Amino acid sequence: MNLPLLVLLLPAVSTAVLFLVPASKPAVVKRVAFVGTLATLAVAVFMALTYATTDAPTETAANGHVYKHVLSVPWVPSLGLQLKLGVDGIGVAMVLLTALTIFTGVCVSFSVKERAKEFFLNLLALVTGVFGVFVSLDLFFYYFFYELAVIPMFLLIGCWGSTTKTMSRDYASMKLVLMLTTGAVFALVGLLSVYVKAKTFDMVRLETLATQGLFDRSFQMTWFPPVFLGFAALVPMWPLHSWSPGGHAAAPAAVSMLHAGVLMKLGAYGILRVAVTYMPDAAAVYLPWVGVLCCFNIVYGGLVAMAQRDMKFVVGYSSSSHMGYVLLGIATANVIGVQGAVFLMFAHGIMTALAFSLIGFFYEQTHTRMLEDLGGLMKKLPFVGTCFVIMSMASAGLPGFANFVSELLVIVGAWHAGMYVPAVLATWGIVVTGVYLLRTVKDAFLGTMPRRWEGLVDARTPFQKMPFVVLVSTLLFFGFNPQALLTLISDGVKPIVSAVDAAKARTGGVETGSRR
Amino acid sequence: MTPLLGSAASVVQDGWTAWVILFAPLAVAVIVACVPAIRRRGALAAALSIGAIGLGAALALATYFFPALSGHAEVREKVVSWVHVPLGAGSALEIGFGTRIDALSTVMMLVVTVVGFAIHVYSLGYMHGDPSMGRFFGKLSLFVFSMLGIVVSPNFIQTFVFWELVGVSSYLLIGYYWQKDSAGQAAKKAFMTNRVGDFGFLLGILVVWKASGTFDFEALRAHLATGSGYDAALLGGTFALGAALVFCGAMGKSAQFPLHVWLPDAMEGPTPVSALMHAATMVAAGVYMITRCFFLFEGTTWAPTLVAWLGGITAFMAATIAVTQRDIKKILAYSTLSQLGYMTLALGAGAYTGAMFHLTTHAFFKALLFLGAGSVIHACHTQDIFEMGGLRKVMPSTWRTFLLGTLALCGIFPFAGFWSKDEILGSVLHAEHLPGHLFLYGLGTLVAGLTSFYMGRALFVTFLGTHRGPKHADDHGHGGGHGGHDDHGHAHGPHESPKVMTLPLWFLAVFAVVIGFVGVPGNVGGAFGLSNRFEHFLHAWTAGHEEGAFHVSVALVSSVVAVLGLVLAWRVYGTERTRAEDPLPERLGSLHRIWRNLYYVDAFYVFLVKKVQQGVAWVCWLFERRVLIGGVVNGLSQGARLLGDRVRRTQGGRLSSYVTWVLLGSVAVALAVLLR
Repeated sequence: MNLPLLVLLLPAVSTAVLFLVPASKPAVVKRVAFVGTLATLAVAVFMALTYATTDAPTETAANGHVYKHVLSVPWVPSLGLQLKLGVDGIGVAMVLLTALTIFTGVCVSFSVKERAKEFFLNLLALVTGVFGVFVSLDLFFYYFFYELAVIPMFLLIGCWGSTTKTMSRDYASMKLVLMLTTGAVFALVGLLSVYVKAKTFDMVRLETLATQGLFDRSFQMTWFPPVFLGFAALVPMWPLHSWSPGGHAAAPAAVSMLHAGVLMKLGAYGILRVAVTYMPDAAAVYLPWVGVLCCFNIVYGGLVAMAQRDMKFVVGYSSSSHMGYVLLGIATANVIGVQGAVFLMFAHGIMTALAFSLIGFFYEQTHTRMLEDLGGLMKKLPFVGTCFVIMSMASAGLPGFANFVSELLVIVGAWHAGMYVPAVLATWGIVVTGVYLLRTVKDAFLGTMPRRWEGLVDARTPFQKMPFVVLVSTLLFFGFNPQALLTLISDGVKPIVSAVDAAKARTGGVETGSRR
Repeated sequence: MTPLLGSAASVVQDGWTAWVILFAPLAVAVIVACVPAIRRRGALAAALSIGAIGLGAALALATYFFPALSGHAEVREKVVSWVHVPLGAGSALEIGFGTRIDALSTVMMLVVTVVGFAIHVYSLGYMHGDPSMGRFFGKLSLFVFSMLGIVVSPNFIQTFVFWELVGVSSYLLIGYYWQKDSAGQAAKKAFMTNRVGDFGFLLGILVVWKASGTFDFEALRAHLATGSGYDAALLGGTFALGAALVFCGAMGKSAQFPLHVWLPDAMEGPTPVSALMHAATMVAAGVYMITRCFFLFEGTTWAPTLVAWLGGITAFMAATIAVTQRDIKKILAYSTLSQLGYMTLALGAGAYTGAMFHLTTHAFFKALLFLGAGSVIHACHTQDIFEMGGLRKVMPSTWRTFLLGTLALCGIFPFAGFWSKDEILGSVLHAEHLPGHLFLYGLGTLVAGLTSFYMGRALFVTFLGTHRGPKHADDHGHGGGHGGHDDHGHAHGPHESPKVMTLPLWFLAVFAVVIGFVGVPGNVGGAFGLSNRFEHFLHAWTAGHEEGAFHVSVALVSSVVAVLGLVLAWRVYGTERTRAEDPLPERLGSLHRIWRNLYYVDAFYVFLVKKVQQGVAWVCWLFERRVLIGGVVNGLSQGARLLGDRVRRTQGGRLSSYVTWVLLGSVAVALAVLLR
């Protein structure tokens, strides 16, 4: 059995099964979702563990980029449309991230009472789309799955989201969908122009053609910006980020987890897989500017996070700050930085899923996330509080967690690329992160507890604790043993970097600041 | 050598012992964190924790003694690859993880484990009855692991990793009493101040890496020693910048001006924590780290000068502030700052062994003083020395050991501090390459006097005279209570601490008296068979430096100054009246106000954080809300809605409007055709 197909089918079949389960039996609904996502996680872990040694069918692009587990099913041969699946190391890492996030997301959503069937249905449909993006090797399906992921998001936030004094869930969901769709349309135009030029949607073939120089310089200079910006809106790159913190804040816990943990990574993945891979000459020219914009993400995002009082907004803006590191890593266009960026996509996904699951856990009981209402929660929620401190430490780039290694690699990569100012700002960004997260920890969990929270209940059963434990352990595992992930993603990173290197060599590397 | 001893020696020789020393505390921390049954039984967690550090101490001692027995090579490295990113063309980003056992790390390991062991045992008594004692010992073990990680680190990145972990264990332990607002605040402040220092540290590491291509200490040393690295421009520019930035890390951890502000606040943690981390070991990590990469500083033009001057300033500032403090732990905290300033001054003057020597002696006597203070606090339930008094009679062990510690700190012959402080002052006096070395020597000597004064003040006010007792004891309705307020149902009045606390005091006191003799300079010690063992041992790492000699004049001057300080303290605090009410604010006037307000440095930082930083944050947030979201994003959506609305009106179903549009359109088309 083709593993990517399995990864795609398991949540899809679970979705279909959920259609058949009567809405009056929420327990069955939850069990189906749990089993479906657990099985997906098992497949994802198996795929990651066996990736190096697998003898599944492979396909190699002309630049030496190897895709494994390749499966191709013709669909509309006259138009060259086919369902083509396959993964490289980056894809495997992203599938693992998605599987972990959705599995833990389903676990923490067991407390959903309102229209549980529809909730899990949408959640699984959403994640099917996400998996589809990460395992597609055909641009048509790549885009199809991408859009598939956006629509359930709209429903999930619009129907199950939370409304605060400052923002309604309708506004948040509408803004999110409009901005994402607009971005997607930009990307779509670019993708179509690529198709028109190359007459194929096959991504491996496209990579080969790109290596052979099909896309000339003027084509690249014209079409890189829309494709890049389309995906960058999803990352989200400053100043296209404003949909994201609001979306995080309004969404229910599991959706925030998926949204911040995985959906934002789709953008960075698209930049790497499509924009930079197919148009390296343009990338060599434009990426230094990305290196400038991402500084706004890092510093501005951090500063805005500092001014927030709603915990979800704190984490939301912190996410856009951290995604700045991902962009910086990509902008370095060297192995260290890009490996760091991909590593950080993984690490940040897990970390932020942990953050939103924890906030969701006590929000269900307190119905407020405002820091001035909370305080001293450690007394009643020692387990959740401890996990939150761990999350904050991971987010603040503390060694021992995967985030530290990835941020370190990004900064070292930037330094290596001679991007000194962004590197200094990124290093300062770690300090800023510490400021707002430790303040959040102190305001929410330490000090004296208002009497109204005496009734709060901590995560007590093993099942309640399990998702948090899974996420924390993942961060620790890759923090202590980063090489496991680095080795996995390195074969996907190298072709991208060497493509940009070759482009720089062609233009003499003047405007890219790539001095040794 | 007996066969048994031989095989034990070979086990130590293979280098894996360091991994055992390092990971045993981590194992304990993990077990305590993950097994609730152990965490809830505090005594069990304590036993594990004490066992881990006891094992560490034993193995560290073995590491020290066995090479001496068998005459093996001193350096043993065991490094595994942690991060490996190939860069093509044969080069790669290589970050190793491992242990480096050499003279320098052995000394530091001994200090950490031996002092740590005493403090762990003491904690058993001090934390007795605390419901979360398991949590305490778990965190303590995490700290020991992190600290030892720095000690054995063979490269900059590993040092940085454990540097941060030490920071986090410090955060966790300062915030141990997390229900107290001030504890949470202090923990945050400590962590963030260190983070600012680490910002520079990481950049420094990057600068050095970019210039030398390595993170490894030994490789860097080799690089700098060969011609390729020995470039005057690099040494004045890049490497000096790198060294200064690396020093930022030390500035944070070792609390040097201007990043010293966190250490006094860190006294919010339990007293054993203050003793172990914020006096003896963790705060010394900066000094250790600079000694570890001293070759980076040595050749550069201006980095050592910066180091020396910041050290001197810290020593003086902290000593003056200590004079005005009333809280016994705060006095000791500022004293620690001041002594760390001495060490940093020594580093800047190029006296690396001198700095390490003072680090070692200071670790013992300052830990002793803190534990003594803890014993006093345990008995009096107050930290204000002016509410104590008369403890000499009721707490004889604490009094005697505290006295020994004070004499050691003041540098009275022949206690430990005398030897180490004089070595530093002598080196500074003779550091001709250092701009302003005479001034710094004078400052150092003045600080010695101030040290004696504030320690004399603390000693006399706390232990002599009659007990004054906490004033609020009367409020509890004890009726005519003469003090000794007792939350725990103790007998009235302060009393001596239990054996589990006084034994570590005596253990450390012995060291405070004798540890100085390991570093007696050869030119005086030689006659008595003391041949500066410390320096000879460290020479393996700090080779190329002259042995510190004994300068009779320096010793004489600083001894006189130290005794004068004590005499002055007695003149001021020798009477019962001044011990009840501090006369200093009146006598010193505005000078006292400045010192009491910590030179307004903290106030300035509060302004920076609360006003400037938060102000910028608010401006960004305003921009985000009003311009980005309110203006651009919502503006676009409004525009789209408006446009849609207008277009909708054109199809309102009113015949007359359709006719108008048709007519207008026809005219327009006709005009267009005609005018062409």
